[in-house]
Amino acid sequence: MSLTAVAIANTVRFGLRSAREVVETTLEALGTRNQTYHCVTRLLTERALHMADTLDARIAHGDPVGVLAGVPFGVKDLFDMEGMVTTAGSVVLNGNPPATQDAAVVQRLVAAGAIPVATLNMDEFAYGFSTENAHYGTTRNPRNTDCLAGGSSGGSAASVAAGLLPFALGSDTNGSIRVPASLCSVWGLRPTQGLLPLDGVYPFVASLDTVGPFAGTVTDLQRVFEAMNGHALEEIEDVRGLRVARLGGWFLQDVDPALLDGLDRILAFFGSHKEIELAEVARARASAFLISAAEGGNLHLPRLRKVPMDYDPATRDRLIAGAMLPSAAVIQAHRFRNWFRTGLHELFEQVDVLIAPATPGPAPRIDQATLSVGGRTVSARANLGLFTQPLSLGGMPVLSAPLPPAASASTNGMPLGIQIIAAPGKENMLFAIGKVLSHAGLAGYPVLGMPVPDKD
Amino acid sequence: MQSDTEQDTGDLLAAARRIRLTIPDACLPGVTANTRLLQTYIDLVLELDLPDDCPPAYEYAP
Repeated sequence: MSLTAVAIANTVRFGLRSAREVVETTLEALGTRNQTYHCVTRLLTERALHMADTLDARIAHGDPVGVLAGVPFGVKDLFDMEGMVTTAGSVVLNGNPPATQDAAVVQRLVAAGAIPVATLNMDEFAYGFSTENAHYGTTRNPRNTDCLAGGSSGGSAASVAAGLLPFALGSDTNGSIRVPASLCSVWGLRPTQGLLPLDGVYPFVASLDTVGPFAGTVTDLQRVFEAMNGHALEEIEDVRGLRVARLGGWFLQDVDPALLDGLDRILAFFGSHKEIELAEVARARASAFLISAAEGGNLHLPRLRKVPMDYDPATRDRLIAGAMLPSAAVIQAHRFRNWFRTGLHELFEQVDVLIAPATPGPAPRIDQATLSVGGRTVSARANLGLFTQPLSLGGMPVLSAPLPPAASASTNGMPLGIQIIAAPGKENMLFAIGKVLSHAGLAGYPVLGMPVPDKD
Repeated sequence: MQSDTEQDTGDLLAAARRIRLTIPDACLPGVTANTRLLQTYIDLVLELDLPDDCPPAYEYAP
């Protein structure tokens, strides 16, 4: 594809290129290049071409079309798509009836003129950080196909990073947008919890689930988020005047030196030396683990009684263990969440924006999917969310921003990403910061086939 | 006398029975490993005393 969503919409709206041509080109690229990345699970060929023809007819007729006219996109395989069974990355739901309508956020994007062309790979039931799926395969990182794409929205991040799609949708419970966005070096947003509707999105952990977009540029990401949210964001006048601080302590452990360097540069850009150490982050992560295991386990308990062997073994064993958790622990985790969230929100009286690493380092190799945490070697699948998971408890919006390409011996040329965190409802601050960092060359990484990140 | 492993397995199967779940033999090693991991998180969370007026936060309200 190798064009931004904004550029595609402009060419289609002004009749320079037909929506059909855009969609045909995209479907062809997905059909031929997906075997390298394994990011697509199903192509929506017939539907996409029909939508493109309808859009072209409207444009020819002089009818108004939306801001994303003719822009192809993909959805993580847990968004309802009318007429299709929602798999949630599993085969366990194959007997379910097809969805009777698109998920609510998909409807909003379609109303803005965007055209869904594919469903995308994920960890089964979104329970993992690696997109290693026993049913649909392992999604490979377009920056180095020997490496993980991250997860659980790995197909979404990889399809954007590969230049196959200008944007894609994912979900983020414990970091499932932020982790793959970071490892594949694209932009991703976990919006304020509860802001975007989850109707028609297969649940994982009702207490923590959110949905959000991935894009190759921060401008595209904002445009897509605004369409999903139903209105344009308020502009920030004095972006350089925002109070920026770095999260220290837990968020600096086992971090790649190149990532620390990137954070230093951003802090210096804002003239800040402020570092904040959150209390009880280990317990926050533990609470997120317990809440996720318990709610996920309970959700699947009826099927785990009947067809346990139909699940991806890695998912199944975690869900079974979660289903048996004692209520004392789960209730305590939810009480802790209340306490931790209150403290996090109070921080935003001192600062406007916090920055932190998204993952400890670059994407692990698929054949060696481990991390070093606190001197221990642990599985990447369960631990890539080391820095994202605790922040999920707070409900704040978090922008995952790719650091620019850098020659670093520690990363072997693989990309790194950061989290930019604002108070609830302050997505406009995140995009303002993202755009100013992109313009300054401190964030942004070109998707494959696109020479430079946006500078607007 | 039971070994620790036998005791763990016995506890696991008893917990499963309470929620009317049968754990297939093939799943026992994986479920046991995950249960042990979750126990470390349980210990961590339960060690902290929270004030009585800190209720559970099941939903998010900005």
